[in-house]
Amino acid sequence: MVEKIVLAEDEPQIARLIEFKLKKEGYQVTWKENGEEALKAIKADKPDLILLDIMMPVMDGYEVLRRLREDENLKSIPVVMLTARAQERDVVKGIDVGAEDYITKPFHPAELLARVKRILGKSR
Amino acid sequence: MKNKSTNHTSITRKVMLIGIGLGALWWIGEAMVMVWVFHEGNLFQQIFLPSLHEIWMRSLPIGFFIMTTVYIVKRVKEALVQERKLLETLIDNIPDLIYFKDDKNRFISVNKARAKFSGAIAKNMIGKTDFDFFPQEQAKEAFADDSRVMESNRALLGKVEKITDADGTEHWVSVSKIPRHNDQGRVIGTMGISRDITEHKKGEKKIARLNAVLRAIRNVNQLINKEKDPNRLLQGICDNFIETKGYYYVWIALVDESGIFVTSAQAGLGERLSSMLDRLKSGQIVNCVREALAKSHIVITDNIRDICAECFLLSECKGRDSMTILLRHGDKVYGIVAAFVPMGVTMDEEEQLLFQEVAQDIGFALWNIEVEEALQKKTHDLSERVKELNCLYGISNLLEKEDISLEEILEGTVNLIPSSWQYPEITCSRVILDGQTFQTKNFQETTWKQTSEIVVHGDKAGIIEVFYLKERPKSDEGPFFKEERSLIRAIAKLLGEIIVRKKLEVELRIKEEAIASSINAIVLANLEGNLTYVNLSFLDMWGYVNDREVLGKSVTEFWENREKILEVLKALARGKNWMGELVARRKNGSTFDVQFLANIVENKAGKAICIMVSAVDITERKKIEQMKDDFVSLASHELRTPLTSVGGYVKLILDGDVGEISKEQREFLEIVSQNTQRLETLINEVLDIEKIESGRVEIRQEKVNLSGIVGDCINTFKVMAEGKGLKLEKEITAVQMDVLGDSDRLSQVFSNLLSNAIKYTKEGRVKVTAEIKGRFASVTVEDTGVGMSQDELGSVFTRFFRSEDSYVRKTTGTGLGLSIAKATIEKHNGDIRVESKLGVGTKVEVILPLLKEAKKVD
Repeated sequence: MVEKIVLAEDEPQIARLIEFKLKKEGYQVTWKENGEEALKAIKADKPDLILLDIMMPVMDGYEVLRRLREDENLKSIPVVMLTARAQERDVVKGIDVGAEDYITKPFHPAELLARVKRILGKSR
Repeated sequence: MKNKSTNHTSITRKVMLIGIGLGALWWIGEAMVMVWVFHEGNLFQQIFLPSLHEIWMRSLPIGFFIMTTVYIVKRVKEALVQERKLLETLIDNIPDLIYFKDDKNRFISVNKARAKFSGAIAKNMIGKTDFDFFPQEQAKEAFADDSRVMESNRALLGKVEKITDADGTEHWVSVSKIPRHNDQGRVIGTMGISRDITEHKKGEKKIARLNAVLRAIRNVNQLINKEKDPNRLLQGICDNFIETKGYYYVWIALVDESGIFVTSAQAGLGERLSSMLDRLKSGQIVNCVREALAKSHIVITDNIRDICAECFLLSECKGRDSMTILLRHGDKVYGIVAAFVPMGVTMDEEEQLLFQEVAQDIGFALWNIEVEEALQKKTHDLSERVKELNCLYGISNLLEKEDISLEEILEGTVNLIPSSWQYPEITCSRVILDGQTFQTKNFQETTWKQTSEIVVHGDKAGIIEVFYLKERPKSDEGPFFKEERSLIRAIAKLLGEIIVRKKLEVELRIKEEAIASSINAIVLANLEGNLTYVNLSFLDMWGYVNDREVLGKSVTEFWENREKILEVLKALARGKNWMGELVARRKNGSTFDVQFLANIVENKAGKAICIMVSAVDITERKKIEQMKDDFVSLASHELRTPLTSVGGYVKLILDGDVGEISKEQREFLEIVSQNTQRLETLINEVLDIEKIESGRVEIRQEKVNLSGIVGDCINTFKVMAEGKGLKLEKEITAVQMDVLGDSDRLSQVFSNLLSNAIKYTKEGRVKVTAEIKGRFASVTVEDTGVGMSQDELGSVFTRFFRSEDSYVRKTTGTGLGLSIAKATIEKHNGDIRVESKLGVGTKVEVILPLLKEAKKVD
């Protein structure tokens, strides 16, 4: 069964990079440009993992995470935060609230993949 | 005997008178017969005839007359002999010395008394002179007197002279010498009567003595009334006793309550008394004094040896009587008075009584003086105290003047001092304080100096000095009076207090000014939270014109969020200070941000007095901070996004995700990737240090095991070190070194240090030591790297510092690592130190306060 990943990232070039790397590994990736659309997609697809950028227009990553955690159906889906290093502290807070992991930009695509694999492997 | 002789004389006289009477009667009868015959008849007849009858008749009375006469003469003669015998008996037995001398002053006759006086028999003295019986001088005088009486033919009456009897005893006699005459009235010798008046003389002497004693007593009484100085009084008393010649030697010794000698006076012996006075002064009580002190009555001594065999008076007063008696009044004993009488005088009861009375009078006088002195002293003390108070009051009064400076007070003080001293006209004073001198116009240093230190807060701040320009008139108590010594101390103390107060005033004024003119808004409120003071900045910031608009209002009324300020007040009520940011509301309703500090002001005793609030308008700062934050977010986002793309895609290619690449392509893409990495590090570090130093980074306060963090870091860098062929040694002596802090930040610090050490070491080792040093945890990273020069060491913590060393230059680095480390460690209340030697190595030590006692490795 192909594992589904929702990627919320407002930067198309970075989204493309991630999508490329993950698809190459066989994951099904749904990319959304902002939090609101990402949330809709998550509700529709019920993905196995969510990659969530924090700084996004319309609805930021925190808000998405908060709403996910309020939803009984969605709150068990693991979330990996994507963030610039300056917001690291906030990410730590995010993890305290319920994020599974985080990865700081810039990142090595292979590292991203490794983390995704680890989380999905664990949940499986 | 005398009476009998008188009887004889009277009988003889009666017989003679009867005879003469009868004879006379007869002759009267005869005459009458003859008158009748002539008248009647013939003369012849008449004459003759009766003649015979007549003759008989007439011879009868003649015979009778003759017989009677013979009888009478015989009786008279008998009576005369009788009389002479009586006279002789009388002369012989009379106690007066009677003698008769011839014209050659030879004794013709002496009575028994005279003979006895010379120890001779009366008849043996006949023909001898006074030279045979008296000492030469006395004999000469008697001889001269006798001769003078004869020459002048005039009696010498009642001459008093001293003569010596056969025993050698001297007698006072009253001598009368009378010239003797023969029938022709020629002087043929002398007769003398001497009466022994020795006893009388003695009586006279005694009366003279008593007179002298009385005179002395009278003088003493006069002295007692007018002399108030005890020493002069005692001396006067002694002198009087001696001057009136009543006594040979008088001395008075005064003792205190415990019998210790105080003072003495004496007259009559002069310097000879000094040896005894020395004994008394040295604390010895001589026997006679002790004796007198022990007895309440007069002590009469007729032999001084009986009392004190060693008394120096033995020779002086040998054979003299002495009296010693207590001087007292009521129960109070003052001492003794002793008197020795002149030689040969015995004191009788009368004199003793008089002496006792005098002693009582002296005792009373001493008591009187004592009482008066006490009174005078009290009066003097009182007046001194008034002076003292006046002076201190005067100085205190200076303080009342508004805006008077300390200098003016000191100037005033030195001028107030002399008038409070005993002799203002010869007194001057000076105050030296902190190098400044204040003195009276007449100031002059002399040897009569009195000083007291002015102490401020326990330290000597200055000195106050008082000088007498010359020696003061009375100087029996050192140059200054006790009262003056205490006064100068009191003034010094007062000045010390004034200085403290004045300094406080000045400080207070400065503080007041500082508060009033502070750009911070400063507010004081009472413990209920109502404003009591606001400064100008407060009025400006909150848009008020006058402080009357706000004073008395609650401190809670000036804020946007009332609840928050109530929390602040609650915190204050719990005794905590509160610091933070608040939104303030102006008079016109607009708001602004303030940095707010509220604290309870306590007095020295720790009691809360009021609330103090200071507030700074941080609107501008807030704006700048916001801009900075915005910039940081922007920078981190906008810089990282392209970097993420560049780095990510390069790595994608390098990882072979998009197909095979040639060797050159790989090499060049590696260069792109490395530089992307470098740029990323630089951006991260710049942002980091900015955040740490601006305090906008929150350092977590958690229990962190430093040993664990260091261990983890070492493990992380093992590969890097081994890759360079370096040995990475660790020496962690404490498994548990708990500190309070942020593990991520601390981890970053040690990573930086290790990374640096490995980077800048070509060969050798890097050693990490973690140990406990007292109350601190110490972590040392030591390398055998390139090291730094002293110059470089000085700027090692400055931003973007990089060593000039070519090797270092070649390595990658931002030069921010140590700056971040220092900022982080300081945020943790720790310290970071660097030691380095060019070409030898560098040692960096981080010290952090331990949370509690840590466990050591066995």
